[in-house]
Amino acid sequence: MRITLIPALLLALIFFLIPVFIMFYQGLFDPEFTTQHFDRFWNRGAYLRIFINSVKISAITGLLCVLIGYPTAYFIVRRPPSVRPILLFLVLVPMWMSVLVRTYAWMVLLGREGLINMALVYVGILDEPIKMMYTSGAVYVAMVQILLPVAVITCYGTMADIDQSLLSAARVMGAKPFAAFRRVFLPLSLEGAVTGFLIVFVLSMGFFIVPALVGGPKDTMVANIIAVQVAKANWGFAASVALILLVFTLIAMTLIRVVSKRLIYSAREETS
Amino acid sequence: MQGTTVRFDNVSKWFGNTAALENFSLTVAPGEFVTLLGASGSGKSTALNILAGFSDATSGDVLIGDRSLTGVPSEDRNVGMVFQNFALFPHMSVFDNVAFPLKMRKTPADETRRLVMDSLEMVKLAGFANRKPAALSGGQRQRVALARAVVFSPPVLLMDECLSALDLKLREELQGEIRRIHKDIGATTVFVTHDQGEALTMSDRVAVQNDGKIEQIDNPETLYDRPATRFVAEFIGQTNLIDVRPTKGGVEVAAIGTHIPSDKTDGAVISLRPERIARAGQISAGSDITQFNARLEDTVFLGATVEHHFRLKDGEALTVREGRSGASDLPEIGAEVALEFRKEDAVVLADH
Repeated sequence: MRITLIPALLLALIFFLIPVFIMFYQGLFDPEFTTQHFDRFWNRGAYLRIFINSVKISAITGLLCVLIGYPTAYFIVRRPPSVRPILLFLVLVPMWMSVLVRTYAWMVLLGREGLINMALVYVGILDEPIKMMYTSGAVYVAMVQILLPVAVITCYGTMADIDQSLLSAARVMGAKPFAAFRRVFLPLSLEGAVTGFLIVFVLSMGFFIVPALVGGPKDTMVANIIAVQVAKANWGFAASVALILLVFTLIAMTLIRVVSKRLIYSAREETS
Repeated sequence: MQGTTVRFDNVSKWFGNTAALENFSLTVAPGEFVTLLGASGSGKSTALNILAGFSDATSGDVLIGDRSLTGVPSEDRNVGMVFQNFALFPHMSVFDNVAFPLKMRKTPADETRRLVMDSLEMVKLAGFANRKPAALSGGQRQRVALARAVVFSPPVLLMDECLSALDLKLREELQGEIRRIHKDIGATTVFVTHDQGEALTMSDRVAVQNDGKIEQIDNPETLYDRPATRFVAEFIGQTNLIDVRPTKGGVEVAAIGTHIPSDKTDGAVISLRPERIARAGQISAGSDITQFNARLEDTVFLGATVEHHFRLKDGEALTVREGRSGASDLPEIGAEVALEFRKEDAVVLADH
């Protein structure tokens, strides 16, 4: 191992591994070894419901991001090489603003007296403002808006690696444009879509600002439980919930990876 | 299977103000193997892309048989194509790659199986049907690409620089194989390359392209022996270009002190192949021979032949190639040597 790596490893040890270990410790020892925090999580229906709800919100957000991000990336990758960086830049611009700022922006847009309601009432599509804030819909809109660039970039990454002559080859061999897309482009770019879904899913599982600010009581997510328990100095329980979140995410990612590996072409594995 | 005529009819392709192809006309006879030869930017790939339907001609028309291809998408042109980088589908097995054109033509499964295996047999890859392209060598990939291009018996086969990615030995082997397959299936073949050796060995006719225009189209022997332009003479093989002055009924070669008869009135140079010049006395009498002296500057050993670098009396360089039969001793460096050539071997060319 190269000696220059040591400072970075030390940094990771002190600021990442040790805190994670402390979190494990606090979840399982209080002060003797105990499973009481985990029992509390499983036995009170509310926590489990919130957890399942988080999985649902994250999975739907992931799917929506891929459904919108994949065609966007396809559109960009089909532009001339000189135009592509500009379009990618535009996709990335929102990511430079903090999630908090973007969530507040959605509050301004979606509120009862917000821009959208006012505009719709003004042009006469609505008679009176409708409730958009503090709904699941608002949570999805804000989360998708925040995480969409991630999906676009991962999809674009695999698409940009696809040799364009493969599509010409498919065409000259008799494939109509859609058949060439479905049989050649789609299978070769699916890995990017799956990766995009996984990253968005994992990031969503940790979201708490968005559901806290624009969601209703039903839209509470796991991270919100953790935040509340930390605020109450309930360290043991907060740590155990964080552990459950971590372990669940790892298992879910591994499962999806294993399944997709059997079904989906991966350029990285072919060349290695 | 029988090939079909391919005809470029006055095709031009403009990119802004530059012509990639200008008034390009070429008729390829059924079953003929024609090579488009040229450096990069000569328009050879542009012509192929227009034929394949990847780009549209600015003006003019391309026909396969009697059918105009204007407005016909690639998938409806029924041509087979081998790509420069092979363009095998990395996510499909060798079998599925070769079966792809048949699948697109909704060929029944059992017939597909038979045709694919026949095709793989033809390129000697029958045992590789279940491999992925990544698990094949460069030469094997090339063969799969070839099998895929001909599996549906297309009347027209296109090949785009498809051997240039391979090393020399493999390339020579595949040249022979492509010729054999071409004879077997009889498809009209348009082959694109920048390698003149490849063009000469493989083709029935070669079209030498330069700046979007055809300089000359002829069979390999004529192209080599009777180049039509100075560009072709220099591009194909190695040659001596000697400045001349047009005179009545031919040209005057001042550097050698001889007169070459010719119909050309604008002759500016003669092209003389190095192997057509010999030491005096070696060319059998009976033809119109000219003799001259030159000073030997250097001799280069090339294996089967040696190359002598001479200096003519006006300072022009002259290369002579001779076989190493051992019939006569090599002249000494610096010696004044008597040389000769047949006048008919000197090709008079204009200076453009």
